[in-house]
Amino acid sequence: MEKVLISTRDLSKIYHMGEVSVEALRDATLDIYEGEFVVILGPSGSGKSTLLNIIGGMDTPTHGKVFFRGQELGDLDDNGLTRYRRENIGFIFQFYNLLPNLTARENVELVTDMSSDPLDVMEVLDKVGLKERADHFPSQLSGGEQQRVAVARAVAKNPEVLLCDEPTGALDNITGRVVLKVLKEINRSLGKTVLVITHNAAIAEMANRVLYLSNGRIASIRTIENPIDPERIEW
Amino acid sequence: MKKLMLMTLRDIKSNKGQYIAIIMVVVVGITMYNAISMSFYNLNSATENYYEEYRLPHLFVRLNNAPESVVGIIGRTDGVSSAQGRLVLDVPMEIPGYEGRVHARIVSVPRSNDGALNKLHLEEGRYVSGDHRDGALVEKLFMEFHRLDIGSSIYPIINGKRVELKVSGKAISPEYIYAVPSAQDMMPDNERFTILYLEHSFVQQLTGYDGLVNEVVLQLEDAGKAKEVKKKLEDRLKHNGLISVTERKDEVSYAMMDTELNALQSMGFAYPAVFLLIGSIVIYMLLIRLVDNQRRQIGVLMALGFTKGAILFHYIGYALLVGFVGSVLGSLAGVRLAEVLTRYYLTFFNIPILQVKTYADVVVLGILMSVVFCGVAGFNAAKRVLRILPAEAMRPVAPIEGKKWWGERILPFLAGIRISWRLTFRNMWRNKKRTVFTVVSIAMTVGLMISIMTMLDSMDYLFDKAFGDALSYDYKVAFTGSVHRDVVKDLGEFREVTYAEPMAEYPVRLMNGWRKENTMVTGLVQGSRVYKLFDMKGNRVEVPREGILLTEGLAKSLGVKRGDNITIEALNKPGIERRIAVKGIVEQYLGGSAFMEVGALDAVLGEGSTINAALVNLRYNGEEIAGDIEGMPYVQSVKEPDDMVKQYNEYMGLIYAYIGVIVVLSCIMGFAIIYNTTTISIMERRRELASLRIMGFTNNQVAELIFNENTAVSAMGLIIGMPLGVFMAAQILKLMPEDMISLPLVIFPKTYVLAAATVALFVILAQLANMRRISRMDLVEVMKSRE
Repeated sequence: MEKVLISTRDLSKIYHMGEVSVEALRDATLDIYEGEFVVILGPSGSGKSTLLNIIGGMDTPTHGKVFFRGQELGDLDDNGLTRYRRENIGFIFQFYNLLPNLTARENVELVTDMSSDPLDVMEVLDKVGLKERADHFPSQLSGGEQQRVAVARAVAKNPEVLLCDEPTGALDNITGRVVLKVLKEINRSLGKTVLVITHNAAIAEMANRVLYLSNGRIASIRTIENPIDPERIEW
Repeated sequence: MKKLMLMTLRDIKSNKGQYIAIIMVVVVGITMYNAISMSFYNLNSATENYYEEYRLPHLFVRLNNAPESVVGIIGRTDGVSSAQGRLVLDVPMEIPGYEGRVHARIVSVPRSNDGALNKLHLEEGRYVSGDHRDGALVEKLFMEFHRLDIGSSIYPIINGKRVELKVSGKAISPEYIYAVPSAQDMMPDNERFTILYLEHSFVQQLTGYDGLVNEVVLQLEDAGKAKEVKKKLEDRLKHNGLISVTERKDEVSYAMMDTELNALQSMGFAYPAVFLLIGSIVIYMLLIRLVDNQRRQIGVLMALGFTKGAILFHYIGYALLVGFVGSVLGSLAGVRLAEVLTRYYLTFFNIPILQVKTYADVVVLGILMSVVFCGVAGFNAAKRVLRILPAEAMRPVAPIEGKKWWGERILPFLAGIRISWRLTFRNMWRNKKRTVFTVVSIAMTVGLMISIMTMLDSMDYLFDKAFGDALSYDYKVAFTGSVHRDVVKDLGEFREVTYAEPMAEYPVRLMNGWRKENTMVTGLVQGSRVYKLFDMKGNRVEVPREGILLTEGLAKSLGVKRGDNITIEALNKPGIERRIAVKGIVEQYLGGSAFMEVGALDAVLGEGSTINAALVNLRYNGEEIAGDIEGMPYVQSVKEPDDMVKQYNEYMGLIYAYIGVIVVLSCIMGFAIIYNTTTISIMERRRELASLRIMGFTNNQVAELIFNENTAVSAMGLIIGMPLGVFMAAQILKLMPEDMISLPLVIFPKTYVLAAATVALFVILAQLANMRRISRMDLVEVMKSRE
């Protein structure tokens, strides 16, 4: 947990909506270490997603810098950012965003086909507990299962970081817990850094560190010495 | 309601490209409809008015020189309202500064033009009366070709004497809208044929035919009784040297104009209908997508209390708007194009009183058709609004059911192809309806293009065939009338003539029951060395000793096959009718469409051992000898087969213009369709595509998915469109004026290649035009919104 993987310096993001400017993020400075499990908490509109999107190379800050292993993202052009996302980032969304036309396995293969150092597709599906359902289409899977396919898809290309935007937001607590367990397992056994955005404070207890965002600022950072097992999370 | 309208306009504004593309398809269809229909009406009313105002005769009586008293006899016949005698004779003519010989037809006209039948329209100069009695009125297009002016000298050779005449005016006659000497000549030849209108008594004086006429033209009290009066005249004049009585509909110029108008009329509906049909398919697809995308909004509107009817109408409104705007623009363009096309016609037909009018009923009907077509498409797409329940609509749509398509189940290897292609096929399968519509639209576009380009192929083939194998004579010598077969021997006397063979051509009517066709029968010698016939398999065929050979087109329109009997009636000699056996079917190329042995033809229609033409080959230095032959007393014209091509191409200029217009318009349409399909498949899957981008797919990789799909759909459209094009071409060929030429249906591989290349180009262009949609996709925005 010593090596810094991602660092942000004085990140600000201002959205101009007509005559109104909204400062979604203000002076966010932060280091994230390799293999860390970080939960970012905050009410809606606090800047969580903006921070995540900027870290993921999907959005650019108005001020400030983001470094990934010392490489400043602002120096990358569109192709560079695409490559960065392809090689280093695995995204998981609230609404899964699987391709409805592809089976679970094919959704994962879609990503492994283009990455340089992918994991074995079936092994990853096994890890998320969906080996048996590999040839099902998204419409034949439950929400939790779809989200686990999405996790598998994000993991299979063997990225450094998983960025999860409300991964349990659309799930009930039982299926949600299964997804969280899978994320934790991937964090532990594969050593992937995981960032989870949520407004569900209960989830924070499974993290190594918790960031509180409020009004676009990082209000506090809390380190948890003994993260609890996701099984024991209640909400 | 006003707000809904505002929404419509804003939606359209934010998807400009797509709406412009659809509107273009409608514009194209309506432009064509207006242009072709209006040029039809313009021409039709112009010719009708012209015939009426300038008193085109209903019947033409041709006689061996008869005393002028015959005019009185005819004039007093029941049903005849007026009759006018005249002398008509074909003579060679010299034009200063022009090397070739010209074939002039002298037509005598009464002293006064007012009230005359076949009244002349003078573009310039003076009528041939009074001081100008010894002047000549010359046909307009000929004067323009040779740059003759009022006062220029021309030198017709009458009875072997070179006579100098001064041009006193530039004229046109309703009898020669389409100025050809006879049905034998397919195309007007403004270089070598013209009509001279000379005062009647002056012609009598020049020719020495004092007190004689050889034609009487007449108008009837009731045009519907032409047949009866014709019969009556035939009986009455039997002993007055009658040659023939012809109705105006059988006169060459009238018949050609009629065919032309018919073709125009049927084209005026067929093509625009195809365009509108495609346009409505595209609108249908677009609206389906729109309604699906705006489900949530529809739910909100319903929750707010808008009635389903109002919402339904809101969506149909898009289609109506497209139909209306497209048809209004199309009408504007169509009116302009109609003017251009109509004026273009004027270079082929001599019509003085052409009024280029805008026909309000055509415009209104066009707009109506367009609005109805679009409205029906719009309704069919928008009616799915009715199935939406507000509460459901506001929830996100259930994920689309993913499925393997049957192809993957049947053909296991398809499951092993690259994922991006697997996705492509499954997407096509997922949107079956849309895929089918797109394929059909592209197929129709390809069909249009191929059918039209086939015309060019067929013509090329015809010329190649004609000059490659079939027609190898250097010149065709036409005699002024029937001459004895031995005249061919005279031609052989010329040292430079290496070969000469007799030939005859007579205008006839072929009949099988109620089916009738007017055509030329060509008489050839057996074993002809310079005019070869081939059957449909390409084997050489000889003219039979007895019986007749027909081209395929002619046999079809008569409904006969080998072994059937048909009736042949001479058009140049009334009363001669024979039954004759069809001995075979031959390929068509330039020239005739019915063939007999020259002796057998003479036995049926001739005067005993007579012919009226000869085919010759020359040693070299052909031009000069041809001139000499043309100078022989009984020779009417000497023509190279190339002249036919030249004339044909000139006439085809008109067809080329249409071909050009249709090709350009189909291209616009083809592009519009493919552009729309591309746009829709991007818009519909923005979320999917955005996820791919976020996962690290490059813009190009995402574009490839769309491109694959378009390629696959277009390829299918091509595969179906090609045979469709062949089928459509066959239909168009049926519309072509049959008497003139029946084109074989020939399609060169290059046409298919060209069609495929065009479609490929459109796919690429549509893709490029849409690349921005992919590269400018705001990933964050797309992922945030849950449609």
